[in-house]
Amino acid sequence: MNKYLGLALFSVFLLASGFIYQAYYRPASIERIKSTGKAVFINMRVIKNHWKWDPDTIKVKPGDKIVLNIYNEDTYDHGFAIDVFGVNRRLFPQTTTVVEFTPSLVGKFNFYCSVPCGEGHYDQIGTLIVGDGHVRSGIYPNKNFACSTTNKMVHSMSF
Amino acid sequence: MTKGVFMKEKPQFTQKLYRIQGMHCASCAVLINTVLQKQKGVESVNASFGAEKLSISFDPNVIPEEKVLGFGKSLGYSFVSEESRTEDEFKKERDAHIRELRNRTIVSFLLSSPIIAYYMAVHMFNLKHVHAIMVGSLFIDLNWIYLLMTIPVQFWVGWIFYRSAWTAFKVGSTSMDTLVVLGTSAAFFYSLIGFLFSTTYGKLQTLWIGLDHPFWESSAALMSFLIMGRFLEAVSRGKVSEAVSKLLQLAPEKAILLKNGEEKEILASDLKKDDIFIVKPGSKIPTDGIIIKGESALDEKIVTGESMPVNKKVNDEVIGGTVNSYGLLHCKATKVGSETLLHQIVRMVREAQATRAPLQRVADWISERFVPTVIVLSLISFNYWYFIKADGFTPSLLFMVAALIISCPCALGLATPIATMVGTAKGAESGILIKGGEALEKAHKITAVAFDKTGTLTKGEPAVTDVIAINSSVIARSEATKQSHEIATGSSSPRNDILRLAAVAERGSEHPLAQAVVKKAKELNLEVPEPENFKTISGMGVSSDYKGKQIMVGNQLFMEKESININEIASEVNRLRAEAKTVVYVAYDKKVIGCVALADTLKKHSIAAINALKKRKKEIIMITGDNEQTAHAIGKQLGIDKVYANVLPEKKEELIESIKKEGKVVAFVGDGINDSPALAKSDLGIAVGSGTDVAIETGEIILVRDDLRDVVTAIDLSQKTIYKIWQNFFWAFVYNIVAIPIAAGLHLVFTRHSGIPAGWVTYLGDVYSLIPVIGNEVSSIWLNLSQSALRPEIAGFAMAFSSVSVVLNSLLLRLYKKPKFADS
Repeated sequence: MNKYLGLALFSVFLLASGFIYQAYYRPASIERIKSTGKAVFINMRVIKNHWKWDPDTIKVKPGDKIVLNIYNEDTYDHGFAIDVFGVNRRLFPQTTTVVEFTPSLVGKFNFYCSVPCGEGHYDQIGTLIVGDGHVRSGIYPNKNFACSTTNKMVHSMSF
Repeated sequence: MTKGVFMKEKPQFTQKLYRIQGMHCASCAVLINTVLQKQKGVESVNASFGAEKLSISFDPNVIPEEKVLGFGKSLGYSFVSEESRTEDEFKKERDAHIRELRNRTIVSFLLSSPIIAYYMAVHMFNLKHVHAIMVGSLFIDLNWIYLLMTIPVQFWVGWIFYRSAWTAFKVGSTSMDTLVVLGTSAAFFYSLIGFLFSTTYGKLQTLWIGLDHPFWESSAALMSFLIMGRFLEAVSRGKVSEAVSKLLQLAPEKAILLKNGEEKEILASDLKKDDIFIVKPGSKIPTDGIIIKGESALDEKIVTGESMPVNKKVNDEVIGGTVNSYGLLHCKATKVGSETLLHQIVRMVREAQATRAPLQRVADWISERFVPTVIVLSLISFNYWYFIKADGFTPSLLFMVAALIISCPCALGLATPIATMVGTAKGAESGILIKGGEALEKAHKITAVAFDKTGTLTKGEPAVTDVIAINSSVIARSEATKQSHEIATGSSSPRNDILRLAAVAERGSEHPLAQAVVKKAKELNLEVPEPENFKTISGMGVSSDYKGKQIMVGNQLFMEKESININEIASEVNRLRAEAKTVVYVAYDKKVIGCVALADTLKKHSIAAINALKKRKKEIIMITGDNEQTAHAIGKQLGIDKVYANVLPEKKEELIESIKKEGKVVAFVGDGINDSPALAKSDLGIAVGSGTDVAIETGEIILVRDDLRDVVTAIDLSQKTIYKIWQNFFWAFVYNIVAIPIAAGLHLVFTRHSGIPAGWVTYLGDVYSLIPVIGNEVSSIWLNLSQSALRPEIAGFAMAFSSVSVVLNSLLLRLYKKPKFADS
């Protein structure tokens, strides 16, 4: 049989069974939070030359839509990314970028800078808490790490 | 065909040879083969990419020729009959092809190098990154510029990959090009869609929220390196065939046609079969023919490898391109144009070049299965994340795209051709023509090297090795080399007198031994005046008068016949004979005054080459038709491990076979004169010193220069090249094997539950954080890494980087230095 035909049939089969599974068999515990339609507006900034989000912790209720207005104070690019929600957005220098998404899971998640931006790039991490934050304790102990490193940088830099 | 099987009458197969136009990749030949092979009435098909030839045997009653041509057309090629194109047109087309690839490469690198350099620098050195600039009050996203630069690279440069992939698609096959197209297109369109809809158009931003990270460098870099690979491949193929084409230039452009008793100069290419042409002394034979009048000696070295001129008379064949020495010849053309021997040699070499290295076939085999596997894997990963894990559409799609991008087997596809190319080009530079990747691979496995003696290790012609003088109370004797030095300094030694007298007597003789004596005398700047009364006594020797005295030079029989007492030097003669030397006596005035010993001497670099091979732990074998004594004398001189003497030419092949049965991988080195079966039988045939036509055909490595050290260089170079290929394979494979599952998010299946780190991951994180001082950082890195997906832009970067590394690694081979030899 033609390889391509086989592949096409296979992908149709995969998708079809996927939809069937999703509709009838997927356990309820896996299901994602449905959007409540309520939007939470948050103003955020990237502190100039500190590789730091401000605020670096966002807390929302499950089902809330997050509308972030992120102002990048730096003269170079940053990026805002949360892998698990498929968010990855460039933040232009000295520009406000709007990032909208609705978290579909409850728990604590990291958001980080996704654009190489120099010394503090790897420490530029913040936390998104969906729900009360106690239900699932899968938290990254990154905050201390991020701050301490960044602070060190801040002290050692002249401007 | 079932019908045909039951039919009584036998199918009538006709064999046809076509030149294929429009082939652009090796898989084109595969496609033609597979498609035509499936057709009823086709017995055998052999399409070759390198030679651009299609040789097909089919039954015109079942499948008419038009239908065969029709299949070619439907696949996008045209089959033209062999006669319709000349070598010149072929060359022109090849040059045009190379030029086109070169232009694409240049354009590609011009456009993509700024992008590549920028992205590589940013990612590798974590620089501050700027995606946009302000011109006055105008906000310009730099991605517009990158996009404009990438479009021509992706589509104009990449067109040839799209074309090949499409060709493969049409016949339901997959090739490297399919993955190249899939991977680069995925990267390009991901960037394009993400850029256009995520940043530019506000309304659509939320829809494509996860796609806002253009990474143009990925497709630009991949395309650039791949096109460079294609270009280099074409150039190196062109170089080797150019070397071969030079053979064709040996044939003269003009010929003198004899028609109705009139001589007329015409173009050699205008000669027709059965035309009579004239070859003047000192000129070249225009085409293959047969002598109908006159005789001469022809220098056929260039075609047959025979170093001595060959005497030819009426009814003997002459070969186009060979040189007529003294006689005026009238010849009848028997073969013209592309049928001549020269053309056949060229064709054979070209054909051989087209064969693919087994390693390359491994790569092809893999890519044939790799493509569907990758597509299936990427589909499964999307399904898993979207349906089973209920991740959002965008993150699920990202896993799929990342898997597609990272699977682009560019490194895999570049691994063999680039290394082979650099290796063979390097070889060609030093006069070592390696016929394709297969020869390279075999050369690297060789454990034993068998040499033909005469003409390969030795010069194949006698030379004076010793001169013994008596009569002057001093019987001096020394090695030929030592002696020549002595003689050169003091020209009136007794030995020089003997040599001079012998040379005087033998001046008029054409016997090879006599010529060797005269040659030696001339080498030593001895005066050799014309003798009187020169006589040849057949089978015995010569006699001449010089300054009133008779000089006789000849064998023992001659001396005995002339009843000259030779007892005085009998012991010396016996010793020389034990060394397998031929001895001629020199008698002056009916008294023996000395003798001259002659033997086949070693070629200049034989010893150095053998020593170098032994150093490389290769077993050295010598095979010769000569007698035991001579063979062992030479063998001892060279330090050969195993000597097979008295081997008839037709037995050489059997001998090689038996050596192979001992489990050795054996290379045979010969000059092609009656060696061709052995060359073919051996694991690796190495033809030395331009060789004969058959040697070029059967040898897998051809040494242009008559220097045995090139055997060592060839083996050494092959080894280095093969190591390079394996290195490349290793990197490319490891890379793909490790990266694809990660790109598809396999690790997250274990480390992430419902979007947050799995219990064991956080537990381990807690454990790490207990480490003093760096605990928190280790823990953080662990948690970050364990939760990170391989984002498409990182996948693309890694992809491009792996190709760069394979190319650079292969180019390192250009630094290859020839092995050092004791005598260099």
